[in-house]
Amino acid sequence: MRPWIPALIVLVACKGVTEPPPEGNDEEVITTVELTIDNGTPFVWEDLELDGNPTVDPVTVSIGSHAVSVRFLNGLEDPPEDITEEVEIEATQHQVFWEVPAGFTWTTGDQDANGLPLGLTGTLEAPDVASGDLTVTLRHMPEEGGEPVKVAGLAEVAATDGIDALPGDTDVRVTFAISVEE
Amino acid sequence: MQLQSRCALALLVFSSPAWADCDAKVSGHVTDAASGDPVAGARVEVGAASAVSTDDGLFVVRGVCPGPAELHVHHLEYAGFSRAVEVPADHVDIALTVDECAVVVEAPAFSDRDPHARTTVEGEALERSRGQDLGEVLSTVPGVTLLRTSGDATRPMVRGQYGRRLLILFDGMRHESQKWGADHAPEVDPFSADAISVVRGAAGVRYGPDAIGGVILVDPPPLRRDAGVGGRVDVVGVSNGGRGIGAFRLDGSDGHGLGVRIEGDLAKGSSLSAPDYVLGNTASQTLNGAVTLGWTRDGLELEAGFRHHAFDAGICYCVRASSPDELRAALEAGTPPNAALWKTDRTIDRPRQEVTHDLLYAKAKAYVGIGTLEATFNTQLNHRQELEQVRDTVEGPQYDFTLRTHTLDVGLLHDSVHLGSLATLEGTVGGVAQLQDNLFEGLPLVPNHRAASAGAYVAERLSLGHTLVEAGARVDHQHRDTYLTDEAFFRHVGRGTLDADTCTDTGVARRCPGDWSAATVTLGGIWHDAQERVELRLDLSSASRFPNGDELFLNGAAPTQPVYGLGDPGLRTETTWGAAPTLGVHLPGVRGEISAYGNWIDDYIAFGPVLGPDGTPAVDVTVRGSFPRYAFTQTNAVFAGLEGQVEVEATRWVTASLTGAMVRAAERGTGAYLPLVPADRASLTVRVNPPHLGTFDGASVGASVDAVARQDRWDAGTDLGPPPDGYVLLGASASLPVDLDTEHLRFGVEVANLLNARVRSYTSLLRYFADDPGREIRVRAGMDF
Repeated sequence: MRPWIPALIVLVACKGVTEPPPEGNDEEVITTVELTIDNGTPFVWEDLELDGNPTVDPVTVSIGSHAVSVRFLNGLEDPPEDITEEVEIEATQHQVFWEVPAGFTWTTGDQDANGLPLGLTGTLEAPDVASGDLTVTLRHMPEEGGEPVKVAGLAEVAATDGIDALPGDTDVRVTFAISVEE
Repeated sequence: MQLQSRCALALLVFSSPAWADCDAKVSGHVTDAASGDPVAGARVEVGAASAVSTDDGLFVVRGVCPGPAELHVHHLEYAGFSRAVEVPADHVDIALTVDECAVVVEAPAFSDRDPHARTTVEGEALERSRGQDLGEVLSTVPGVTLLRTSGDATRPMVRGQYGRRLLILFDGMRHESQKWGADHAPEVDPFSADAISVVRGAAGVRYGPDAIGGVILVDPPPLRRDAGVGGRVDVVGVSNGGRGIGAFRLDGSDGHGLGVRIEGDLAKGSSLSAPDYVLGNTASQTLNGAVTLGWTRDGLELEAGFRHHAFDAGICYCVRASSPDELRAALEAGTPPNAALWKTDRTIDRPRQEVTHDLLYAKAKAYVGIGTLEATFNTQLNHRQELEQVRDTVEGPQYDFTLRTHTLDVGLLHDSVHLGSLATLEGTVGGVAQLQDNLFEGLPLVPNHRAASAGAYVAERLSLGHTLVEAGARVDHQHRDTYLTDEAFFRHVGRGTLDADTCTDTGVARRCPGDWSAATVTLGGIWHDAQERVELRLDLSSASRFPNGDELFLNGAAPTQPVYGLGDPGLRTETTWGAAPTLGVHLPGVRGEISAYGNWIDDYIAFGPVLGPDGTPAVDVTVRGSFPRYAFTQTNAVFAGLEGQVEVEATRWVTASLTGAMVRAAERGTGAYLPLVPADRASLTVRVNPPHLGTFDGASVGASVDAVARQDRWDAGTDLGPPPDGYVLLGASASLPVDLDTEHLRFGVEVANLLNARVRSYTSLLRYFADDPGREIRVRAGMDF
């Protein structure tokens, strides 16, 4: 039995267990979604604790047409890591889908290298005094078996059959309460 | 009962003076005359004393009077054997020949003096499964169901229990892996096995914690003892997924007690195909390698070994579980949306899993005056990485789990105590100590922990002619320190699942200790008639398991399920109480076994939806959308069922085998159905074994029909979609052994899902998204030398 004793000492001395799991594995966390409207102060959806209990700024806009852009951040890094840059680099595998309340209209303002919509920027028309939910979905659509799955007409698929009918995987799906003020 | 035990005591007292003079021993080795393999369970009698040969064929008869004596050997399947010996005698070699009159058929074999329902896959049945993984190999055993993961791997389910509630022993050692994940298949190499047994029902006393649903025993063949080198080579080709498998085993011995084994196998396959489309990204690769060294001399046996297992597999692109709505949409779509794009491909893309399992062990076995003492120390390192679909800048895994386990197991099989000429008492007493570290890296899911466990047990068997009674008890204790981040700590305190005072701040973490205890008992009996044609067994056993790290502290999106999962640090030990009668029949031309069981599980740990204060399902809002909140809670459950197998020899060379199983499971009190309980099933196999083929003796052809009902007992509250329809599958097989002078060749072909039917099984993680893999033709060739 004696030869096992050093083995036991070695294993007790092993590091790592007596600490919490380390951060910074090669993970891809998005904690924060920033909505910028007409270059104003961003409206923020944030869950730094990743506990399913986010803080969400209510969004208010005036009647009329607004330039809107969205950013995705990992707030666990210091300074926060901007995931939007990676989305732009891999634009042919990403698309942002916008679901707006009745009466509002959304027009996507940017495209990827294949001429397909990207959706990081666009125009929001707020026609009248109204309120509802604005849902922003970032869909990651990596190639499957070497074939692209981001194809034309996905926004229409999402509009008719829902987000769940799209290929790929949801990276972000957050909802802001939006209201229009005069 | 009272009277009987008094008689036994009286006989013991009266016979003891005679023992004082008769203290010599006769020891030796029982083998099969034809194969040279050791024969276990042979009864060796010398005068009034007797012993039963061990799994290694070894026996030691003690308490024998010195001088000339007659030695008799009895075994069910072998012809009787007698010879004269001069007591004391060592190294008595006994070679038994098969009794031509005995009906020797495959499983179900009569109990290995175990009151549990037990089936062993070995010999020709194991040969036919070459190239399959553990779950597939065992899927023909009554009461065992195959649980398919979302890639190219399966897990066995016994009586509706799997993962945490199923214990796997490799060569007698607990296989310590991350059993908690639905997608985590056991890291066991079936090529290494000579026999794989399934013990059904709670078996906590004999095997320790986690033996709730049963135990799977994977037993490698004993090391070679005769001087020389031998081994086997196997090559398997599988049509579905274009899989190629090669395996070898090399055994050598110097004939003076030293034995060496080197073995390994490699399997590589591309994506599997359902009848109508390729299951994109289900390619896989498996590598196994092992070295075993053994040394035997003067009653001392030493063995050491190292095994490495590596498994790399894609997870089907079809798994689309970003949200419950998406899962339901996939279920309704029928065919996966991008199925037309998927090709048969050897590339293993993200999402994928990379798993390694290493086992290093040392065993010692020696006779110590009162019995055989066996000690085993083993270290296991289980490493699992999950790689999700991510943007190109991310290269590593998203989840990284390491489980380090060190186990010391000491047991004493005491000498048979003869209570007169009628009764014999045999038994084992032992203890186990274990230290286990869980190290996690990645997205917040489970914390690190260190667990120290210890257990002690005693089990005794009393043989009284045609009756055997077994009784035993065991206690186990576990202390576990869990190391939480401040965030996780405050979240649990905030939810009221953790008392802040129980944890201490170490400066880098919150250390939260916990203690769990378990007491298990077993009482069982076997009775058979004088002709050994009918056997009745009754097993009353309990088993316990301690809550797992994820059940206690899970905090995040649950893997493979579109829900937000929460652990509960206050969970208690789960205990099952089982009652199982088994009837075995062994008549000329008919052989069968049927078992019924009821398992009452107290503090059953269930994972189910959490209701909010208003009674509606609670929802957690994450950056990836809203998820239903699921939590681990404790309830009481009951599992009951029936399983059996009947084998009929229609003529001398046609046998038909009918197997069936049913499981019923519900929460006690509410009667709510539990998820993932296998549907009723039955299977009929007909085999034709033409006799007297000379060189080709043992050749056979077979056909099978498997019928599985729809699982109508399901609960919409815990299951995210309705169960699939029932189905019928056809199969066919042929085996051709070729006996040459020096080598033994084996050829075979097995066809599963012959008609390429589109089916989905309820116990498959793929069932929401895609059909099961279609027709599979497996061609195998092997050689023993």
